[in-house]
Amino acid sequence: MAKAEIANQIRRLRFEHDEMTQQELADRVGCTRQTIVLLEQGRYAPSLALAFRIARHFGLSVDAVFEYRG
Amino acid sequence: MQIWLPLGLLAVVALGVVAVGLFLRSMPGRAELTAEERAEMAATPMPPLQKRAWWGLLVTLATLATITVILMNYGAAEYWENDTLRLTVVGIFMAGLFGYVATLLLPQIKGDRRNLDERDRTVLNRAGTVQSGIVLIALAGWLITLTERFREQGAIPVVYLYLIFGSVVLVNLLGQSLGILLGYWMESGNGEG
Repeated sequence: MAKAEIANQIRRLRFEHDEMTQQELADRVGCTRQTIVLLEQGRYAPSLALAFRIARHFGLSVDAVFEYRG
Repeated sequence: MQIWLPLGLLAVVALGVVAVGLFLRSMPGRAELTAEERAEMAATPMPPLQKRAWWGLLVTLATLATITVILMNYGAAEYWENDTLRLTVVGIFMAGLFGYVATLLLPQIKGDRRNLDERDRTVLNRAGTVQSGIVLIALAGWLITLTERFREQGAIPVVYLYLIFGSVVLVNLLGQSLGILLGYWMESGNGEG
């Protein structure tokens, strides 16, 4: 699978939020840890709903967390 | 009239091939991981659905293999006439089904009650294509085997109806597990399905 066309800042944001673990973030936004790992590796483009949940969790807008590189 | 049989068989097999082809086409393709990404994936626990699929595959394969070995040793006619043998096979079949149901409950038993996430749901939905493809291929296999075996007699013994049903049930469950594992292996790259 090629890299997803959507890049993100999730890894950086996790470390800036008390070095939150992938599992903690996964539990808080309602997905599995594997999905967070794939998101951080840029190999998975989330649904809009998940993108909003992640952005909201970090207190940011979606476009501050995700970037379209199509 | 004879021309319709090979044409029918060809159509069924072609349907199975098309189903598998459609599934593979719907997948984004196997990822090429860097060493770092591979290490991170290896350290990440499998999602509950993936674990369940491995157990499901194990249970259905073991059940199918056991029943196949028994039937190949004794033959279908002996299975039909010998009540002890028939009950044994039915018992193994039911144990396999209960075993599969137990794999569905595995996340609850282990205290992992999280729902499937969007990626799991995409994988699960795509698995249906593999499931139906494998069932079609199994039915085509039965059709070809029985037709060739009983062509001269012009009739197929009733016992085979039970065997076809039982095998299709197990192959259907096997197909779902296989489809799920294939989905995770190839990975879903898009949360919008």
